[in-house]
Amino acid sequence: MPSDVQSPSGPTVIVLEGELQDARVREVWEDLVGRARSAGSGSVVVDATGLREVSGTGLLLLAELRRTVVWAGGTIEVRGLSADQASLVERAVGHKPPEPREQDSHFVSDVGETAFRMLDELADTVRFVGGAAIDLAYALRHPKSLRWRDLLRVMGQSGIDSMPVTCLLSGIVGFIIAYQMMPALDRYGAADQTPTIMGFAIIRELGPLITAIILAGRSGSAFAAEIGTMKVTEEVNALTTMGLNPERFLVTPRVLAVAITTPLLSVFASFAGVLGGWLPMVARDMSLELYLQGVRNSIDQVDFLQGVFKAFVFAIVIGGIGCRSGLQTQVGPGAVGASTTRAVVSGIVAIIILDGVLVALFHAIGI
Amino acid sequence: MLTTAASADTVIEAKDLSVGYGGHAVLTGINFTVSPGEVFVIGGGSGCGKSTLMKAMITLLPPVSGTLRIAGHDLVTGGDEAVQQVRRSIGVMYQGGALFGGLTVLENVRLAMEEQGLRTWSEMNSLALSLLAMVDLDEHCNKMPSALSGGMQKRAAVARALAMNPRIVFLDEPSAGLDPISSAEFDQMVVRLARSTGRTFVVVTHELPSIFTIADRMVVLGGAKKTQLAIGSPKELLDSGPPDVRRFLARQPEERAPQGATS
Ligand SMILES: Nc1ncnc2c1ncn2[C@@H]1O[C@H](COP(=O)(O)OP(=O)(O)OP(=O)(O)O)[C@@H](O)[C@H]1O
Ligand SMILES: [Mg+2]
Repeated sequence: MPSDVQSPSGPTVIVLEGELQDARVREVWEDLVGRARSAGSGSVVVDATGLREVSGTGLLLLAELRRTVVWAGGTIEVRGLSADQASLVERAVGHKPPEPREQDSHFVSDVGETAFRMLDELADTVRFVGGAAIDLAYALRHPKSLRWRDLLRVMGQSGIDSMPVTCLLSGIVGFIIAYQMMPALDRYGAADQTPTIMGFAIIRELGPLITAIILAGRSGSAFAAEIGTMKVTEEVNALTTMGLNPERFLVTPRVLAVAITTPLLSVFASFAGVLGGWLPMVARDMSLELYLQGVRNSIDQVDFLQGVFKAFVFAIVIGGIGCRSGLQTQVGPGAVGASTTRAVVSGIVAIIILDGVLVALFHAIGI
Repeated sequence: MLTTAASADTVIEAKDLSVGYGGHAVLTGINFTVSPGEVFVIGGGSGCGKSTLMKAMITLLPPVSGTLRIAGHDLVTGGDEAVQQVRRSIGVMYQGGALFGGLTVLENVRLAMEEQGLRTWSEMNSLALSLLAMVDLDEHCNKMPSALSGGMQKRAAVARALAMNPRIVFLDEPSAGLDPISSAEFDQMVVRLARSTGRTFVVVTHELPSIFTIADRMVVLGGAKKTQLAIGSPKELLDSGPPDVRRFLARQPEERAPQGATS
């Protein structure tokens, strides 16, 4: 049992006997550290001569005692440890560690800080995506400067490979919308107007949006992961010191590839969505010809081009955001994962906000 | 020291140089010059700022203050133009090789030439092949980097670093991750390349066998305030350098004096 003998003038003596294993360390920790602390700047002697077994945590306790006394300005002597054990315990007093930082989180300042950070982030993103668009225009005028192989590879991945899932999803969404809409239209006896609604909803809105969301999940994340990995393995640095601009080299082919494939993909997605909307109409004995005729009559070329244009803009934004997240990858094991997540989340948020802006804009100019 | 006169036959000159991150100096008081054809080692213990200094020299990190002249271009005052010029004069082998994963070994070596667009296809291929032969990799030229061992990747990265005929070649931790034999072979290759091509090599390493094999001269970084401790040939420094430096080169840890104990 640890005991302590306080002689009136001499040092505080703490005697340790028996074993000092984990369970016992837990029992006596508070007590012993408290005694060491109460010695203030006096001197303390820990007599461990009678200790038979000391575990790692036991040594930690001795180290803690030592630290407590030394930092209070006192002196301590630990007797009876083996040379190895003593040298470990003596290491306990090196630099005084910095005070653990206080987690001061005030709700208001947190919200403010976050808002400012988001604004900064937004400005940066806009700048980067704008820069990517300018690089793109440059590449189109100087086709020799383009990495054709990367371009074709990304076009294959973002276009052909995502065709089935995009069309499937869009078709199902078309089906759901038509199905949910019918009871409401029935109330006014206007179920035959379903093709009109489907034309507007899918071709102007949902086709491009669904395509863009899948693009964010598939290509935006892939760009962030690919470029992020290159950043971590110093390949981006290697490009830089070789005098090759990473933005032109890595970003331009990717953004150009999705800018080409996404509008096309969006056209297919819209068609699949419109077709999906026909399925509930089968029960109403509406023929496919009649249905498509209705869709055709409800929209004009401008509506169609509006959808294509949206898909084009979404593609540049998602491609740009994905590449930017990749280039901003920090070091560390979770870094690439974090960049990928950021690429998808900011990509989707950005296109939905942008969609709102575009709708307002198109309305304002009357198309 | 006649530093101005020295600039004619120096390829690197650092004077009162401080380097660090975000304008905050990590390493200060750096003063050295490197002559053409020299193998110059930057050594020192972990965390002393070797990588930081190298990043500044290869234009990835703007120096905080002082003078840093690489191949005649001052990276502190020269702005973007100097940065571009320096990039044209250097080749870098990164620690892990940093080969482009989507390209074959040959394409990796050829890439910079392709982008420069001054040579014909067959010229570029034969140049790349002869560079790969210099590092004993010509028979693996059509493999992807992932199909090479770590040591082979590093050698391929050296070939890539040499591709644009740089005046200065930087090698970051060439021994890291290599077994002792491969590491020794790599060192011999560096010496061979330096002697045969007359290029300047700057090598960041803390491997003592490497240092003694390859270094003509070295600078040792360290100390509590992270600065330059000594400069000279490894032999000189081992014999008559400051105590910290001799301890580093002789592989002796510092004695730890117990503090605050009465015993
Ligand atoms: N990105 C960074 N931002 C801020 N400080 C950094 C950064 N990277 C490194 N440092 C600091 O710079 C100092 C020197 O680090 P550096 O990586 O240059 O050391 P090193 O000599 O290369 O070490 P090692 O031999 O372990 O690679 C360290 O104290 C480190 O904390
Ligand atoms: Mg390092």
